Amino acid sequence: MAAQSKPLERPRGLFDVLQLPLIGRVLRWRWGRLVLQIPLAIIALLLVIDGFTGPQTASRNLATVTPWIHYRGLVVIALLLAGNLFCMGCPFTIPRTLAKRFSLPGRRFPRFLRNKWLAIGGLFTLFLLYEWLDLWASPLLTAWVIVFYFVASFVLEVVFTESAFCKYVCPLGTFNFIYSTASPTQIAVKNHNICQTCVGKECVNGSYSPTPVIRLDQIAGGAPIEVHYGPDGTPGCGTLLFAPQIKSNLDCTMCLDCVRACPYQNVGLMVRTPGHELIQPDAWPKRWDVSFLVIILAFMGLSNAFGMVPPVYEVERWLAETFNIGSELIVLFIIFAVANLLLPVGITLLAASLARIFTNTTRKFSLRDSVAAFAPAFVPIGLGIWIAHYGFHFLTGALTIIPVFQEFLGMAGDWQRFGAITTDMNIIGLVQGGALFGGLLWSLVIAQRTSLRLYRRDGMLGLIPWALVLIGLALVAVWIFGLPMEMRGSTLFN
Amino acid sequence: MLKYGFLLFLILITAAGCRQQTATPSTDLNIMLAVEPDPLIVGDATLVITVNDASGAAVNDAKIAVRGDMNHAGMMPVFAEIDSGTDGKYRVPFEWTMAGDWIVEVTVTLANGEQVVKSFDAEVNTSQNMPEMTTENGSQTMPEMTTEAES
Repeated sequence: MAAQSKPLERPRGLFDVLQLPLIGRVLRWRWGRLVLQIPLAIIALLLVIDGFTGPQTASRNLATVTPWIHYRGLVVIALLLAGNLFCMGCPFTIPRTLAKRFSLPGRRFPRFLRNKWLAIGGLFTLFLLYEWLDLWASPLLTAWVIVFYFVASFVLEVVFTESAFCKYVCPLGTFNFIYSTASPTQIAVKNHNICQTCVGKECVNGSYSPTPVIRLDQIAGGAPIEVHYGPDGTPGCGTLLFAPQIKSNLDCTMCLDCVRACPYQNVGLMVRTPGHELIQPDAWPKRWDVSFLVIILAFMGLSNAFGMVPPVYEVERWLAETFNIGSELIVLFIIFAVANLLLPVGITLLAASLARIFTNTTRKFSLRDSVAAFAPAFVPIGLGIWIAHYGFHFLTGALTIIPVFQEFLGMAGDWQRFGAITTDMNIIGLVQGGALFGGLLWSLVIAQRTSLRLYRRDGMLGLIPWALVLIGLALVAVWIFGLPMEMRGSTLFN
Repeated sequence: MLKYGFLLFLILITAAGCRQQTATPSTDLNIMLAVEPDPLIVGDATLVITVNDASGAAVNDAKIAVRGDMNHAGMMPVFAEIDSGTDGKYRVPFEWTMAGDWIVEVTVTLANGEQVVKSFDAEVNTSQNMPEMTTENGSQTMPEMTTEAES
């Protein structure tokens, strides 16, 4: 009974974005998501067309310039300043409504896959393929990746009732989920009492149904606003989040289906303190898969950037010669397995173990709980690393999209004018330094608060191993971004 | 909804055909690219472009335009031009602005206005990271990628 009377989680929101005059109205509109999705879908189709039919020089093709320069640059900025806007406008989910029509009834994603291990595997595979196939240099392969995304999203929507692709598979969505936890917005309800008496729970169940629905509470008293039930209704949360229990942006695509489905207009997109959930002890599940996903993604930020600097070729050459390996894929797999799996897992377990030993809490906290408690601290430093990397490409090449698009339209690309405009390297250095230093500082604050919460008087002792890991990550990042960058496919194996 | 989708499809198909198409070369040119210094390192360089016609005779009155792109999108291209050559050789001042894989596109505009475009791969290194490379007469001959012609 005590658990029932406990108030549900609600962030201290300053205001509801959906109450803003124009933006709120558009977003709440039944087709509001399409307003974002259609432009992005058109862009995606243009990329596919140019990738298949245009010149195969990466710098002159929309299929490579747009995703590898602009998407990546803008997504990290949006995550930091606004929220998970790119999942909100994701064009890959447009066929969702169509897929719903064909959806096999009642089949859920296999239970053993309902975790983040598949997402970790997806990210690992994507980054491995990115390096091995030089996706950044191939418009054709990038176009195939986009097509694969559309097909995979549609097929999984057809086969399973929930949005399995978004929640368990999509590497882009996984990236956005993780770093939207640092964002200043979150879905939340306005009045928990309404949720407790709500009969339909439309925010998660939806008002969509192949056949008309009669709602019991409407018979009793009528609904406060008009909600369509039946085939014209709104689907509920695709990732099966229940709005009044949302404590985190993890798994939230910000599709706002919950907002539209709620018959009481009780769900909002609240502004909150950026990263509010990262210092909330119960915001995230204490699971190995979630914790390692966050930590591994920060390490992936390093390995992805490491792939652009000269030492990586020395490492590749050394591995190939030492172990007599003739396959680039195997060499890259070894590098990525070490950098993206063994190192983060090993270092994390070591840090957690040392913290427990230093604070004499080995019996009080399990290793899993210790890792889970400190995992949120890896979000800011990870985001800082990704901003430093993607921000570099965006700031150096943002305007090249203009001559590329001119050429796509059959005009002469004005490369002399737009191709030569780039942000001053000193400013880029400041942005990179600011992202890394700011991320580290933010991470250390989270780790310190976590340590004090867990270990009380021994908080500083418990902090030491984790702080060393975070500082180490930042130092390696500074080293990598301080090296001269090289853009090459691995010629070692050609 | 369906008609809007069809309209969008038509627009996209039209857009796909917008790019300037290249014609089959009517003039048979032999274009070769060599680079000094060798091996290729970041910094100033000279591209030595040799243009011969089908009979092997040197072509000296062509205009040469060079465009260097890194194989990663978003990087600033490098442009260079020259109006005349000697013994079919055109020496074009150039700068490798960054280490990595480059695509050098050479556009030869003949006196009659016909253009022949040929692309070459180039691997540029920092001075500390120079692999062994095949050399030829003090310069490196670059591998050919594609040839296109525009008229």
